[in-house]
Amino acid sequence: MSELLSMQFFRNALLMSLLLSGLFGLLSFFIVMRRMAFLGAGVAHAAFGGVALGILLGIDPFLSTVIFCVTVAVVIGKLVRNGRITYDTGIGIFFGFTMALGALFIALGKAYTFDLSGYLFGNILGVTSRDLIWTAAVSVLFIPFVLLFLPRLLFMTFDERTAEVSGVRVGRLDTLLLIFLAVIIVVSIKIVGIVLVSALVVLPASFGLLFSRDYRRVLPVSVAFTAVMMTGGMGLSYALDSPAGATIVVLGTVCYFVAFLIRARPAS
Amino acid sequence: MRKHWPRRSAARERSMANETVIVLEDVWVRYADQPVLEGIHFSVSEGEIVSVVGPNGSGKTTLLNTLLGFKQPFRGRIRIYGKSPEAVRHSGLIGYLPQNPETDTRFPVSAADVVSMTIRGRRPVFQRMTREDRERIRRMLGRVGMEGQAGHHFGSLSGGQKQRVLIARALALDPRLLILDEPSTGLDAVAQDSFYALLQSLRDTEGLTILMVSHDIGAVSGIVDRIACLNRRIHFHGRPSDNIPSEALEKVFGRDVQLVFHDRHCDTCGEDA
Repeated sequence: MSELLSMQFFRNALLMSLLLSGLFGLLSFFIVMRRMAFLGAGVAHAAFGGVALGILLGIDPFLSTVIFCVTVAVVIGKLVRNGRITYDTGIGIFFGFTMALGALFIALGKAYTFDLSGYLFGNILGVTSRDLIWTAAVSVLFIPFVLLFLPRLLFMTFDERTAEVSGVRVGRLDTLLLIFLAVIIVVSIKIVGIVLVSALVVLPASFGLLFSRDYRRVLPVSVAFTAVMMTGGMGLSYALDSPAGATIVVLGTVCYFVAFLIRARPAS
Repeated sequence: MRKHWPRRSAARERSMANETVIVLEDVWVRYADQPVLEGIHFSVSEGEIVSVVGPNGSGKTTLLNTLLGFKQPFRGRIRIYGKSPEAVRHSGLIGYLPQNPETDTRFPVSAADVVSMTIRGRRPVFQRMTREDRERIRRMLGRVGMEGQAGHHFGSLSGGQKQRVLIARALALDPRLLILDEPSTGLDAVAQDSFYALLQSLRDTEGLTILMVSHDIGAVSGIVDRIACLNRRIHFHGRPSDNIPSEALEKVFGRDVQLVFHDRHCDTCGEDA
């Protein structure tokens, strides 16, 4: 263990995982309860287009990805709110479109040395101090946002229409949540990758909901579960010499199903 | 916002008895060039229970969406307490009961949490729940006969119990107008009866104005002060005790409708059912 912690990249990745646990543990609840899990996958795949755009234009891929993903999330959200399309249609369209744009940008930019696999499945060695600072900054904004706006977020998640009629500014709150979803996904891509990040959006709250019928307990259980899944997955990946992102997601999913089977057993 | 319950004196109630709460003047609404509502003139006065009835596809939901500001009319004028539907939302004057809320039964909240939503949803973000809030939630649940279920998981309650908790949530806003969307859907006859009795008592004791939309003219006719029969246009708007012209009923419901008034005060009516 001390050998592991002596490595700078592992310390970065560990710290990053703990920050992401807070972010996904809280975010997951609102996404799962609003049945928007597929949006996580859609926005994550849009990141591919964002990265490729950055490479094509010669700008920082992180910034281009944040802008690209936030735009996609907000545009889908607005189209759905205006009743133009449904979530699954909007996400389905943008999923394909942004991946195709990514492939085009890479071809146009002739960026053949681009670490495609790192973006798709994560590369724990790539976590830099700058990534950590970004993730910490997002945590400083998102965690107080959830804690302060929890009653409003809960009302909107439970019953959007009544919340709006009762004076909650649902449009603004929804847009803020979508922006956070996009940014949180982008900062996590270094560890788990574009393809696997949707597991982090869905698993924490799904696990938490197995253990309590009170959101005051579901939220901390979700955060704790994410922390165990991420740090445990990283330790395991070191022991097995396996890719970290994939190990984290497999460990989390196995834990979820074990918990599911235990909780589903009829009470005797 | 008023803090104590009941909110206003009987004298004040009477003085407001004729104040117009909702006015629709020549309202036209269409979806993609298809007119759904045509030239709707309609009003609701303070302290009355009014029901808009009509079959599926008659434009009831559109009327409700227009009243709540979710759909814009292309012609006509709507005023609720003198304000536009979008503006009145933020005044806390309207309590709303959605139709069959499609809430995930796993949603991890208790009945008391649901009632607290309207109280906390309009609060400044730094203000925490006070003892007074908790007392208020308890009182609202008591008002609808659900005090004993305050800590129960909302998703595990029966349809009628959920409906009552949602009414308590609407009442916790301290509204002057309740808007109910198909409130009897999913309730059995006994639950329906006690639900309508609750609405009457809210009108009588709190002076609440209640507008509900329903497809079931028979069920509501015994308790409402006025009824509006809608099928794209309003074909009748008056007291249910006035004889609704049979041609109006035909236009709204088709030819084979027989109107049977349910009188809540009829002791023997329920026994045959």
